[in-house]
Amino acid sequence: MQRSNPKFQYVFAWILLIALLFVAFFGSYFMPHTINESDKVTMERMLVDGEMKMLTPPFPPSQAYVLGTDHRGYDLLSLLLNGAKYTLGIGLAVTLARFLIAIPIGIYSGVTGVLRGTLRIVQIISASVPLILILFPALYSLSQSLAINSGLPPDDPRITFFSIAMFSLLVIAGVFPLADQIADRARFFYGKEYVTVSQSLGASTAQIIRRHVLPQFRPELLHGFLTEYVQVLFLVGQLAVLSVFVGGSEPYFVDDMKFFLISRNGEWASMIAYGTDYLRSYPWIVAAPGLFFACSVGILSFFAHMLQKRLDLPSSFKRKPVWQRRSSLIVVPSVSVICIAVILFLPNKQPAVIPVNSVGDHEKTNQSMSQSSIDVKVTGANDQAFKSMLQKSTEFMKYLEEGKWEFAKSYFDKQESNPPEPWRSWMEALSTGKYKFVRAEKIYKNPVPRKVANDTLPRYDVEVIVKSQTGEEESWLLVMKSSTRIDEAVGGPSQVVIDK
Amino acid sequence: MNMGVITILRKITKVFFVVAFVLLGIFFVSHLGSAFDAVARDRLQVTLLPGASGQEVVDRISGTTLISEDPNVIIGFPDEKESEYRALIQNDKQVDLAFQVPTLPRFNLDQYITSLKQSLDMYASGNFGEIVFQNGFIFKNVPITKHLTELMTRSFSYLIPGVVLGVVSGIAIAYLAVWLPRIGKVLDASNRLLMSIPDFLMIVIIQLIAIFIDQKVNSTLIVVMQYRDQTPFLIPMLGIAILPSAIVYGVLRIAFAREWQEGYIKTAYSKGLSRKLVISRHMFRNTVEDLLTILPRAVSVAIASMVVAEVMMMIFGAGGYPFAQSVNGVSSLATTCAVLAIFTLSVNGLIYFLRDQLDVRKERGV
Repeated sequence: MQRSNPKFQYVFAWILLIALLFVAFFGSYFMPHTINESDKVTMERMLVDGEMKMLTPPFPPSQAYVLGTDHRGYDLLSLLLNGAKYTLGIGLAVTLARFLIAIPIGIYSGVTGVLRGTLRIVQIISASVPLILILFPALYSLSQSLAINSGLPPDDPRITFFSIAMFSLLVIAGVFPLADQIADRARFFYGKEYVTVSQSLGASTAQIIRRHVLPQFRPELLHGFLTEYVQVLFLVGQLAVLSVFVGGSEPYFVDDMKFFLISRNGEWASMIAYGTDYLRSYPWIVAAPGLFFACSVGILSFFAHMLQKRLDLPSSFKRKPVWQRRSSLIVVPSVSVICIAVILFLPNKQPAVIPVNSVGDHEKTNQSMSQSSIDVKVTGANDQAFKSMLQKSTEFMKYLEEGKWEFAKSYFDKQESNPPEPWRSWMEALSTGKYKFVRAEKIYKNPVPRKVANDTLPRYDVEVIVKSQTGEEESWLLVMKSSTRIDEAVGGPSQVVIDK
Repeated sequence: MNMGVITILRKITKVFFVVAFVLLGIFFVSHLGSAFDAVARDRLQVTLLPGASGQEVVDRISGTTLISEDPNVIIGFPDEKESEYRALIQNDKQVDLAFQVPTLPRFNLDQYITSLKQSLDMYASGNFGEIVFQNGFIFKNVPITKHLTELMTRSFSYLIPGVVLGVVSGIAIAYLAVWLPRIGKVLDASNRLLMSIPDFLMIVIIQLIAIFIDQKVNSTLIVVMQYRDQTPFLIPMLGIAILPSAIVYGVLRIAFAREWQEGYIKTAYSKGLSRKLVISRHMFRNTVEDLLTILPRAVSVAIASMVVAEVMMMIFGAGGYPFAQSVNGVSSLATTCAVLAIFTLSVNGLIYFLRDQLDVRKERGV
């Protein structure tokens, strides 16, 4: 068989399509590395120019990581193999849903004329502006209100809801132009002479659709489906660039508050969107998903083209049904055996989704559903700051107790050689044994914040408990402007703090 | 009334409805987030300062109840006084942070209608949304009207040359493909390949090439990302031009193939006209309608590519400004999308008018 032979090209297109579907379904079985929480890498010893060095990810392509890694240290090949089903799956589901809705509406409208005007108007409106101008504000508004990009856990119902909303919008946006196209074709077939003859012989509309219109449509449908599928994939990719994608994302913190979002499941379009920001420093991050995406779209387009070429040959309509062809009898069982073998003998390395707080739990216990990664990060950072505040207050009080002003003064912005008031009284009371420092365990917000440039920052009162010689406990307050800096004092020896 | 006037009135009504539906569509969908309630209105989750307990906070604020203490402190209150209680809880001296408690998203029509009304009131008072800029911990809300001219000028500076370049190059390459059939085959295959590459990937490829060139010449010859006053021009323009060019090429190739079968071509040949003359004098004129038919789609594709290019290059332009550096969020997306939609519709209207004026068949009929 020669390579230029159209039959060879057609068979080759089928092989590529089957391979693509195989990767989409069984990609996670062929992942060289797992991509669970425990697989995240902060540092790794690597050989660079003959020298062993400690490096932080992203790592460039190497023997261990064929396509390199992302910022989390996840192997890109594994991520992309896992993400195939999400990218190709959402595109396939949207296209399928569009066709399932558009075919009955389009054919009925084309044949009977019902809804024809409405379809045409909706088609004109939806085709008059780029879809992205309508979909983007809708999905941006939804993602903001559901806090989708704040690093929600993958099992959070808001992620599921957003995916359903995105799916529905993608379907609705494309269903009317498709129905209009189908209606046009149905009208064309309905106007044929044999349909008129059939009508005059008493055939009903349903019979005409079933016997004459649908069989004419069948060859065109697969080609139309593939073309639409490619268009949907393009749209899904464009939306991913606009930070709207399926399956949720997790924030990768560059420092305490600066972060960017990375897809959790390796969905291709979102990986491209993430990689473009690091084009200059880590080009492999965008190159790998770009290659996967381009190859997939290329395979689908090539298949559609070959199918179109084949449909142009009248001989293709005279062939036996699929189930009677010898090639089908060989290919179908072989592919099935390979699929079963993969499921039975290869481990599925798909990342496990650890439910943080399921909906059921939420309803039972009235707990919050789950906190986003950003909320967790902010809460954790504040917890650390408050712990440090208590620790620094304790250290400060101990230095005063020991009469070590040279150490105690380091907790102030302005470090004076001799303790000013009220700190002189505090140190005297503590160092002479009139009072004994007991503990620092409570913090309150100070009602007067401090002003820095045009901004106001909170101050905190750390309650320090001291015991007088009579054994009575008293509360003094250290007003702190940060976790390590003392601003002023409230209360002190013989002064009672009335309202903390 | 004169039939011509009626036809014009019909056309105007049709255009009016299309514009109105598109703008209303953008307005309604851009408020979709308000249609779904994803947070509980009767409770807040709080984090407490060290040494505090949820009960202490609840005791201080009358009307609140302690829903949960462990693992998270959740304080309940009557939902009709949500904002009042939220302020009280957030300002409590032992409460550090207060978070809204997420719930299963549910449709809330009242909330949606209220949000639409609020936006309409805002628009009536000249407020078309805001851009929230962030500088460290400082946030600044700036009305979109202040930046709209700058955004549009920047975007159109590469959109218009991009569309023109795309259309002109599409026509020129299609012409070349018909004139030189051997090259045409190669161009057809290249066009199929080009149509299989999404615009965002095309932009990535151009960016990579630009980085490679910059590295070779050791200077920033082609700006890849917006940085301070350096705004990319060449890459967004090429990114915008490629797909319209491929679309125009594809349609013209089909149109040329169709015209090639026509009898007048054979007549022209038999009269001794050269291939070049047949193409330029006959075929080109007869494929103008095909070109004008596909132009609105090419413009739509160009605008979508422009949005994508701006986002990818962090350009502070009409499509990419929500993702530009130092922008934290926007409430003006409906406004900018509506402006871009009006631009698209205007271009489509102009093309429609041109098509109407250049309709050869109509002239013959007259």
